[in-house]
Formats: sequence, C-alpha cells, structure tokens
Amino acid sequence: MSTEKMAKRAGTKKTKMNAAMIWGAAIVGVFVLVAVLAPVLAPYDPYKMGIPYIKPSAEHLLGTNDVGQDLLSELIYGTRISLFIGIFTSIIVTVVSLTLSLLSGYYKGAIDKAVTAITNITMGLPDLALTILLIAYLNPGKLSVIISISLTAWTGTARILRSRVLQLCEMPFIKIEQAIGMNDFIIMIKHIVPNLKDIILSRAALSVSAAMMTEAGLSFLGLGDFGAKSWGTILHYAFYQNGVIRNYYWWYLPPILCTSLAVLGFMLLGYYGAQKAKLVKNA
Amino acid sequence: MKKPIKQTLCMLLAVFMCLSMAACAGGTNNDGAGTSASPSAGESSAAPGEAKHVKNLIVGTSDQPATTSILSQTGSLGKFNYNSITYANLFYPDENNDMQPYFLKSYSISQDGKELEMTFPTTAVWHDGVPVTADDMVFTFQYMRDVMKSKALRNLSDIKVNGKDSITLVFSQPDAYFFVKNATLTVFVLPKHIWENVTDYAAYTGEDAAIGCGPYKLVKVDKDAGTMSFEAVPENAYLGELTVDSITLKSYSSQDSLLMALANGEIDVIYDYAAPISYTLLDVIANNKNIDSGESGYTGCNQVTFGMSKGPNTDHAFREAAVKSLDWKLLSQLSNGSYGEIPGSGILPSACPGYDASLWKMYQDTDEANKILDNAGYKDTDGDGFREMPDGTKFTYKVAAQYAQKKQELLNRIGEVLVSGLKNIGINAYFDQAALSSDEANKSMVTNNDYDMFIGYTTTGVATYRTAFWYFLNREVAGSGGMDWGNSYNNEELNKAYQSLMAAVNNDGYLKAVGDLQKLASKDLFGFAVSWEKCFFPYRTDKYQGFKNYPSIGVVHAETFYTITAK
Repeated sequence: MSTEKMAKRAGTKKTKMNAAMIWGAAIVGVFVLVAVLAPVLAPYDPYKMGIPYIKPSAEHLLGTNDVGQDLLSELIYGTRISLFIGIFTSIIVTVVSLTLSLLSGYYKGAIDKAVTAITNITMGLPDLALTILLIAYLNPGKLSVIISISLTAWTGTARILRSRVLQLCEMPFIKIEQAIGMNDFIIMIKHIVPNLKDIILSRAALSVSAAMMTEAGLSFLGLGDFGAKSWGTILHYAFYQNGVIRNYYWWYLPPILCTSLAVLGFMLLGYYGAQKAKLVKNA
Repeated sequence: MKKPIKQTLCMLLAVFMCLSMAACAGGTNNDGAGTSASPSAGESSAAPGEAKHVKNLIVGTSDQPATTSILSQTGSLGKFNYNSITYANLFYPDENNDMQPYFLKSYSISQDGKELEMTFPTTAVWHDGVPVTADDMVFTFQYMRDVMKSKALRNLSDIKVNGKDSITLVFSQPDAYFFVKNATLTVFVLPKHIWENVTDYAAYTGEDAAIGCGPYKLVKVDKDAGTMSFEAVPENAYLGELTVDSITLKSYSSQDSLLMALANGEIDVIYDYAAPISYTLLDVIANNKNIDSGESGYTGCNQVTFGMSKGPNTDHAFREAAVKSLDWKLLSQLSNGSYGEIPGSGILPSACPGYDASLWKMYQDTDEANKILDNAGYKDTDGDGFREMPDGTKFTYKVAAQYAQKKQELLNRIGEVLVSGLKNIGINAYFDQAALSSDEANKSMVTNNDYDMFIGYTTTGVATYRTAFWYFLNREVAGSGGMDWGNSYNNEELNKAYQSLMAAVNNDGYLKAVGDLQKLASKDLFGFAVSWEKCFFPYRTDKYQGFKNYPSIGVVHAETFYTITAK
C-alpha cells in the first residue's frame, strides 16, 4: 500500500452532511448573503441621520436610533463587520495554532516544550481582560480588535492539533516518509495537514463564533471600532440611551438575535468534526 | 409515627412560607402612588409643636467613595462636600446665583475691589472638638496661596487680623470680587493644627484629613457597601437650625440604578454634581406621583471649540459655513430630547447670568453654507467629492471629543453629527478615535492644537462665574487664569474681554463683561454651544417638604439641610 493511501486511511471517511451541519450552513449562508448584498438590501444609508427614535413603521421597519439612523440598515451593514471580524480572527487563530502545533508535534523536544509552555502561559492569562487592555493601547480600528482577540484565542485549537500531530507522527506512513528522507515541510503540508482538516474546520467554525461574541461584547462595552456599524455597537448605543429601560425592544433585540443566530450557525457547522469523529469510531 | 412527623413538618414549612411571603409583600413598595416610601428610606422625628426634623436623609449619587480628605474633590464625598457637609464653604450661591455668606457672618468688598473684609463666628468647632479661631482663618489663606497655589489668591498680598472674629484680605490687584465669585464650591476654612505640617496636601490621607468645621461630621465609611454616614454638629449650624439630623450618602454604579433606587424609595434625593439625570430616563419616574423630576434650566453646556492655529478655521467664512452646515435640531434632541433648545450664537445658555437674548440663534442652511465656501474659494477642484483650500491644497478636518468618562458616548455621538453635517457641504471631516484612548492622549492632542473641532463641556461650577468662555481662552494668556490645557485661539479682543470679567469689582461690571463676550462669540464664531438644556435632579416628595430646586444644582445644596422638614 502506498504512503498516499495509508495517509488517506489515517484520515476519515467521506460522509454526508448531518442535519446540524445543514442548518448551520443555511444560517451562515444567509448571513454571508446579507453581508455581501448589504448595499442592495439596506433600505437606507446606515450613516444617514434623520429623525431620532422613530418607532417601527412601514418607512423604517425597525425604527430609528438616537441620531435618526435606520436600524434595519444598521443591522444589515452590521452583518459585514461582525462576520469580517469573526472570519478574519478565525483565520489568524487557525494559522497560528496550526503552525505552532505542527512545529511542536513534529519536532518534539525543546520546540515542543517551548510551544507547550507558551500555550500554558497564554491559557493562564485572563483573555477578556488582556483583550480589553490591548484594545485600549492599540490604535482604534477593526485590525486592533482582530489582533486583540486573536492573541489569546489560539491556545485551545493549538493544543488539540498538537495532540493529533503527535499521534500522526507515530503512524507508519509518516515514519516511511521520514525514512526515505522526504523534506519535513513536504511531510507536514502534504501528509499531516490534510489529516488535520476535520479538526481545523470544526475549530475554525467555533473560532468564528467565539470571535463574533467577543467582538459584540467589546463593542457593547464601547471598545470596538467606533465608526463601524457592528451589532455590538448598535447594542452599545441602545443601552447607553436607556433603550432597555424605555422598552425600545426594536432597538436592542435584533442585534442580540442576529449575534445569537450567527453564533449558533457557526457552532452547528462545527459539528462537522464531531460527526466525522463519530463515524471514525463506528468504523 | 413517621406520618405525623412528616405532616407536622409540612405544616410548619407551609406556615413559614406564608409568613415569608407576607413579610416580603410588606417590604415591597415600588410605585409609591398613594403609599408611603419604603421602610429603608430616611425617617423623621419631632417634639410636639416643633418642625419635624428629618432623622436621616438618604442621598444617592453615581460617584463612588474615595478619599475622605476635605482637600480632595474626587469621589462621592469630594463632590457632595460642595454643599458644605464636612467642611464649611465661606460662601454659597443662592437661588439667584448671588453669593451669600455661609461660614462667614458677613463680608464686604472695598470700592477699589482690592480688599475683602470678613467676619466669622467664634462658636464653630472642628470635628475633633478644637475651636475654630482667627489663626485658622489666616492659616487657610496662606496655605491656599503658598501651598495649594490657588489662582484666585495669586495676588493676595496681606492678611490683616481685625480681631478674634474678623480678618481682611488685601490684594495687589482688584481680585476681591473674583475671589468671592470663584469661591463657590471649594473655599473653606482649614484646621491649622492638622494641615500646618502637611506639604503634599493632595497625597495626605490621614484619618484627621476628614476633619472640618462643616455642619456634618463623617462618622462611618463602608466602601464595600458604597455608603458614608454623617451626623449633625449643632455648633456648626451656620444658616440657622439644622433640620436634618443625619445623612447617608449611597453610591450607585449608574444613573439608571440611581433612579430605580429613588423610585423604590431606597433613597430620598439624587445628588450628582454636574451630571443631571439623562432625559432618556425620565420615563422611569413619569407616572410616579411621589417623585418630582427636579427640572430646571441648565447653566452648563456642551460646546465646540474651533482649532484656530492652522487650516481653514483661521478663515471666518469657513467657520460660518461649518456652523450653518450642522443639523441643530438633531444636536439639541441628541443632548436633551424634546427639552433641548437650539443655542444662540452667544454660547451662554439662557440660565446663565448676563444672558443676551438679542443674539442670533443657530440654524442649518446647507445651501447657504455651500455658497459661502464657494465664494471663499473652497472648491472641489479634483472632483473627489471634497473641497480643497483656496490655494488648491487638500485638507482633512479632524473632529475630536474631550475624554469624559460619564458622558463619552454623548460627546462621541455629537462628533458623529458634526462630521455628518460637515461632509454634507463637502468637507473631508472625520471623528478622531485615537484621542479617546486615554486622558493623557486627549490632553496631549489639545495642548498640541492637533484638532479642527474639539467637543468639550462646561460644568455648572465653571458656568456660574467663569462661564463657558473659560474653555475658549488661550492657555498662554498672561494672568487670565485660563484652563490648564486651553486652546489655540489667542485673540486680543477675547483676552481683553475675559480679563474685564475677572477684574470686575461688582455685578454690573461682571454682567457687562459677560455681555461683551457673548457679542464677540456671535461675531467671531470662535466656537459654539451644541445645545441649551434643561437638567433634572429628581427627588421624592412623599416624606419631606421644603425642598428648593436651584437651577442647575437641584434640591441638594447648602440650604437644604436647614429648610427641609418631615411631613
């Protein structure tokens, strides 16, 4: 049997999508569509100011905020920011954790000890407090939010991936590749990474949802990107103008629902890995 | 045997639950309509025929307990003390904003404005039992001038002791009136025996730092619970009989929790210096018959300063166009809802002394603004949608806000409205976030004149005498006493007019200077008020009577503790 086939066998079988994944994909798909088509879907320019505190009506389906901006348009454009920050943070988190886990699990020894130590130390840090601290000191903007969230969010994924890399490195097809003198980088990219894809995808989906929640939380606290229309920012101003006490549910409820739904969508997508693991076990 | 025991236990449990429910129901009293307040709120006591004393007045604030030093203005006590609690201010502003003696028995200013004669009581005592003497009075002014470097006393040349109950302050300049008007909140007698050996007064936190000769003595501080308790000192009742026997100052984390506490009867009255309750919270108490919203005209305001050191702001036409591009209705609604008023070009609100109603009011006219800019040469020559300078150079326009914890969101929102208006007339404006990262970054931006529009605010304390114009002065104006981090406008006419205000030796002189400053603001447009507002300091009306709602201050002020009685 060729090492290629052995490598494939080390991975998992091809499966059909489960119901949770279908729901997740549908939800995420809708949000992605809304984000892409925001200029077409939004009835108004979300920055255009008008009459404040208009209640929901045919003209403004979700009413207007404290400076007369259309809340539905804000919500639609908010999808862009929330998804952008969620997805980009997830990409950074995945790349960082994959790189570190490959180095750690493949080379073992001092590198493994160093990476494990860094992971442990980072895991010991209070992530939200550190994120808030970083946001306060970095120049305000989306990039700062992404960097601040990413800095502590990679540890969980890195630890899981490292375990899998360690496991894979003990398998015959990797040993054979090493024995015939294959380049380490090629082994990692061609034979190890493909066998990590299930974990990577499910963890990446979860990272998106976690980053979106953190972004919403930061924006709610007034620490997000000031000019950006994110769901957290809408919520921030709804609370600041006492929208909850005044029972302006059309102001504060939609961003909460959107955040929850989008997070749910990505979490359901994350079941991809769980389904695979179950199938492998049954096989 | 088992069954009867079980039944008995069940019965006992049922009785216990019924009693608990009854107790809970008795303790809940939220709407206040037609019922008395919660038992947790203050109580009253009186002998027959006497005015009923308030046994314990519970005051709520959103400031948190910090130091208890009388020389600190931070934290809940620092602000509450403005009303002469643990210390006794020499003067206090009455309902009409005229300065009345508080600790002093009387005062008089000489014709030339260089001498201030003061008489004071000989019966007052410090809270450690030591009597207050003329020595303490002399020490106070020397300490303020030499150690605290008080600007109001920078020209104090001599202190004459006229007897055991009278001294005269002698100034080298006509500063006496300025000193009195400026002494509203924080000029009080210091105990010599405590402070004479303290040079770093700001850092001193010894227990005796709380000792003053105010009408109330601090008896308990519970920082975890956020409460401070005070008891009356009858010897120090300077305005007559103290009708409030004790005070509890309770801190809350936010204005909404503060208002909820008032609605539930946990507190009797709200005191939040320079932070009236937001109009957005008034719905909470709208239907509560036992709460008065404490509405009054507000002397403070949010204001915008033009950065005048560089760029297009040096051109009056540009400033005029900028002002006319703004949505004034939205600005006034944003700050104060339906209570907000579009401001006049003279900046000072109608609640301020010397307000000039004849000056033109702000209005939005985008067409006119565009025309002004076109005529002045600010045209979009490269077709990018933004205007260039008359010489063709491109420019961006930086709008920034003051770093202000309690009202940052409002200032930021105002910034957004300003940027939106400016963009409508083709100015490439943006709101600067970097300056909001810290107080230091903010001050650095201002001191470096690195802004085009700066949104700040004037508190009641400044508005009372120094006026909002204080914030428009250049920090380098010699002898003006301008704000520490001032702005970039160094205009001779403005400096002269403001110096006249500070050199005024009587009300007429002061009011004339205030009028001149407003006219100058209207003509030069070096800045503008964002809106004129009403303020709200709500209080309960079901238990106590005799509250006087002072404009901009509310019902908690120096007189409150001598006038309110239980119903």
